[in-house]
Amino acid sequence: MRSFPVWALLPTLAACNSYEWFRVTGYVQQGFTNKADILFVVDNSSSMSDEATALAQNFSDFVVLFADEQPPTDPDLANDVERFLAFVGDPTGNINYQLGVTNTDVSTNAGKLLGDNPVVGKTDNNVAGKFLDNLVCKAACIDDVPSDIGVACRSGGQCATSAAGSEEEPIEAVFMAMCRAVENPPDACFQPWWPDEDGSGWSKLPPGDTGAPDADAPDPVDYFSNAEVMSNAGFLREGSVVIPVILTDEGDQSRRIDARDGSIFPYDQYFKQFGHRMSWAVIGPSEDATACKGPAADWGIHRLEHMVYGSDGVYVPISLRQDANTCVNADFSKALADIGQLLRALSSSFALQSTPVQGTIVVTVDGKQVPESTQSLDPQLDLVVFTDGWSYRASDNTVILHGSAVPDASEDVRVYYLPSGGSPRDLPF
Amino acid sequence: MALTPASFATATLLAALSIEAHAQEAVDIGVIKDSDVKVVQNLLYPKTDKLEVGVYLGWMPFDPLVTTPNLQLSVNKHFSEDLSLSVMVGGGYGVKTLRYAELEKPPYQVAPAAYRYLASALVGVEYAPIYAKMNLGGRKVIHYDIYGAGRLGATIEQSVLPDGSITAAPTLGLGVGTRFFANKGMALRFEIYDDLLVEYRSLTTSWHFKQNAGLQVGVSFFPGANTKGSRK
Repeated sequence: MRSFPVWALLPTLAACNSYEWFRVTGYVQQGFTNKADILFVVDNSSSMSDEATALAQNFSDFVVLFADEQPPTDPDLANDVERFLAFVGDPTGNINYQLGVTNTDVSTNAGKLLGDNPVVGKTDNNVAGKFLDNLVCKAACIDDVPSDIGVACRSGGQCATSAAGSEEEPIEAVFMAMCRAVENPPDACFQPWWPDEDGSGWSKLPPGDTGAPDADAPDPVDYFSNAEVMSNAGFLREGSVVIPVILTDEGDQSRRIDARDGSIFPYDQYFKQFGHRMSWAVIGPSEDATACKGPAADWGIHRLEHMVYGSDGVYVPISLRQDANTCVNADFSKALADIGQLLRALSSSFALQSTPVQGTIVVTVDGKQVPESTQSLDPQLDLVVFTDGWSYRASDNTVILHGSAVPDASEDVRVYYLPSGGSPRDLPF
Repeated sequence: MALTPASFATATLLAALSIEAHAQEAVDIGVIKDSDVKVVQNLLYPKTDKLEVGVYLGWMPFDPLVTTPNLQLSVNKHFSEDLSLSVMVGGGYGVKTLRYAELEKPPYQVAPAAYRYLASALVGVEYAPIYAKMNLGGRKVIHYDIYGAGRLGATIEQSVLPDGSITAAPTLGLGVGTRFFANKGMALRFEIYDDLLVEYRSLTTSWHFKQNAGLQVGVSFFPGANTKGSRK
């Protein structure tokens, strides 16, 4: 009796279907928002006096442009041309911002927002004037404030004079500023600190501590207690993006990371506890061949780079190499323009983790597919303009939404693409 | 004249033989061999020259990323007890599995470019060399057959990625099934199959081999048949 070879079917059933693996980039957990809480952290050591002055002078133009949301009236100014074009070319300038300033001297201020109006909002009167007053007169170290900056004080802010105060701790300053802005700060905010015996740093344990109670141990310094909760009230808004902007000529020396350690643990874990998306901007020392590192230690620079590049931020060298023996201050107007671009781009751009294969990008907003934008050159403005939709920018591997495709707050944006380097990671099966 | 013993015996033998000769016709059939036996039992539910129409519920559960419920309709024209022409058409909708959803989320954040089954239409033959019956607990005898199927046709599929692109793929369907005859007009059918297709995926501009393996259960009807059976 003939029989059907059933066994011949078994290999076909056991075989697996193969699929190409697309990456998915998007903000599934966090909704998108146009609220930006911008925290300037200024290095107020005496070495920063000249740089702080130059920054303040350029801050005037930057703040006027950004705060007023109007294009400069005189586009012939060389310093403003790039910013003018960036503003006109990008129609997504609807950012609901707040500005706060503190400095890197955690020993003195512990992240407290400085100034008579510590939180300057978009709808406040004289946004630029209030912000500059906070920056120049309360936070930075400036020996002689130029009259063209337009503030009442003639010598600025506060200069860090103590050894401990000269420890630049911008990351710690940002952390403490956020601790002061929430009703239920993480436990790490309440950490007491004992000064090192030489006064150069801080420790979580009293000097000579062996774990046993010591009646002679000095009292710790409590930078943050229940009395300081909400001392930066109003700065962190629900659902906002927090943008720390750090200005320093030194690397980070924040106390919770061991000296000479270039990693950012445990700060990366601490910041997550606040539940805010963060994007860091640094104008600081760089190891790039075109920049001057100055007195900054490598590990201190690496910490700042970790924060910036891990959050799709902006890193601008504060000092550039003119020749083998000469360093000059960077063009701070351009640096601020880059930061301004970061702020505008946050509401409409999505960095991809891998380089996509051309033609495989699919973008959805709240499940609805967004078409690809077409671009054309506007002859009058000499600018590339985009239709509603998305475009891909290869220079920073970013997908950008234009026009009506820009998502509203809390809309779920997804970007699907086939990575050119193949499957991105080991899969669970 | 008196009968002798020998003559009496002879007469008796002749009488006996003549009685048998008159009682029935003798048929010489020679020697019976096993190879001469072709029918083990009565084929109670013949299919020859009959039309069979069926409806099935199916599931394609073997893909780890897309699982597909489906509905199939069949028409068979039986040329003999072994061979029939088979037409199978159907539709369904593949849905992403929990595993697919897990892959889209952190920390994996990948989206396999899977395709979901939408519809198919296949034409081919069924070969049913086995017809048998089974005794259930000594109380019921069920007749059944076992067949193999080979069909050709096309399958319509759609990308599960947001682009939703649709493709039509040439398909070779292979299957093994069985009919349990309830009566001369109806049978319960079960089939396991594997559709082999080659499809073009527009987003990646590439051709891919794919298998839609599945199971289906249904009923089929033999229109116009006398539903009453006879003694088993």
